[in-house]
Amino acid sequence: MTSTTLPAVAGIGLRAPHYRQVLDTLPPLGWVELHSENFFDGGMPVAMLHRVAEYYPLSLHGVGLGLGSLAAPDTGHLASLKRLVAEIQPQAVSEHLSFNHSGQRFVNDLLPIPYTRAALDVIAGHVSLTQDTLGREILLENLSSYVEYPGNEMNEGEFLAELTRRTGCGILLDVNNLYVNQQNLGTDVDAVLAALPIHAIGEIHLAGYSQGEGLLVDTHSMPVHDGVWALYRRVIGMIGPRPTLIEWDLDIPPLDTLCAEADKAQAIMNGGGHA
Amino acid sequence: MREELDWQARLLELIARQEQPADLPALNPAGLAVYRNNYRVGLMESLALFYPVLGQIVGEDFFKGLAREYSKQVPSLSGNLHVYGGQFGDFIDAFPPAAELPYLGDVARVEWAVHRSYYAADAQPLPAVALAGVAPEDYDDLCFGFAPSCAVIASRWPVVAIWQGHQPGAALRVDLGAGGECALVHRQQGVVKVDVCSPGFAALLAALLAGQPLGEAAAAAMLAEEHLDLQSALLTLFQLGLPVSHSL
Repeated sequence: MTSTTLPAVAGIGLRAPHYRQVLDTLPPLGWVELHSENFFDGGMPVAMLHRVAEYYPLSLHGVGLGLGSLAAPDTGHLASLKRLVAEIQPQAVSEHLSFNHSGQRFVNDLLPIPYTRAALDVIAGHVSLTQDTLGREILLENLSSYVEYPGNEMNEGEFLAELTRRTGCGILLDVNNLYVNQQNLGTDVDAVLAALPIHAIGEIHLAGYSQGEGLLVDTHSMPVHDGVWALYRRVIGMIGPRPTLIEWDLDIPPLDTLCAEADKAQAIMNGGGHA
Repeated sequence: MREELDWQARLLELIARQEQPADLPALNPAGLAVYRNNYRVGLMESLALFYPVLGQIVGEDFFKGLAREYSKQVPSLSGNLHVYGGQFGDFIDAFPPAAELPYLGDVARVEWAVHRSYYAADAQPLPAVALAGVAPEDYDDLCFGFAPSCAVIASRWPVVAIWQGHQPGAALRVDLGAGGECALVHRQQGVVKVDVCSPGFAALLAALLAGQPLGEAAAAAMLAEEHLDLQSALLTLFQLGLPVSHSL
């Protein structure tokens, strides 16, 4: 199975405050994405997810697998994800190229990994294990990072490209993360984009950052900023339309606001949108 | 690989143990501060989601204090935040600033049971007729498995009235001197319910949930409530669809 069968249109991240409104009014959404971990144990959330899947193409986006954790893959978490994916059969399954644990200790965040050849060997194994367990290819997302491993041997784009080549996984390109890294870490956006295999980019994320102390913080708490729209327009110009998600996870606005953001992304994909 | 592994382990420690100085080479302190804040706030916000009644009782500021202290003392052990916070009741019982509200710990235990019940997997109830083949002399040795959405909390405080009084639209009428209540948390047709049950029923269910055979569970139940109608209590368990398996 290829890494995604989502339509190449704009969609929104569906979060708890909007579950009821979406199911009651069935607004025209291209597709929706939900966080996998909110549906791990079954019960009422999964019943709701089945209903959503009746009406919309659906993507399950993981925030807790941490498959860049070099010590060991989290096989318990992976087993839960396998059950969920088998039951829901979503159009896409994605994870982050990040780590979150070492031994028993977890930090529930998306922490940056060392971009080294040795780490690549280990993480490629974790990606393959994940895909073999799920019986399908996944999309891997680039990060917003606030610290960097001092001995990096390649950039994130090169690392992702090599993972794609070795494992057949796809890429979820978060344009906001790329922009935030450019501003915070001086990441060379052109070099990262040049490294990514265009055919493997199966999905795009857009979100709004907030201004921290001397850093932009990827809070998903704002409308998409102008600089990110400009970069998105450039990316779409390079690679053509892709399933594009508006993510909003903090200070979540009314559904109409999310849909208006999705419309802007759609206008850009349709060509010539002035967001 | 050793260097990469050590770097990940050290970065996790630095984020989770916030008092440590940032001693990783080339680590941007502002960047570390973002991760430290994300970690602490993420755990605190999870607790606020799972414990809305506690938040109403003690107010936002006090709750944040509780949650901050808990998040310092209890590390996250899973990539799934839904399982973080299960010891909040025990923590509150031992937290001196909360001593003035001695029922808080039990309210927390009810809220955790409600949270877990909502996310618990579906399970097929065991029909009572499944016991038809069990010989009467074996009844005492019967053990039951239960729906993962069910739990029971026995309290010296009116925890059910407190919990129900803090639900949306409810009128808060709680007499703290009214005596203890036992809370039965269970899910019916997709709705998590918190109901009062008798002390004997609670003791019976708690013992069975702990894996004790029916004979021992019945003895514990009679000890908790001398005049418990055991047969009726068992019937209620089945009518609520709580047992899902049995074994001898």
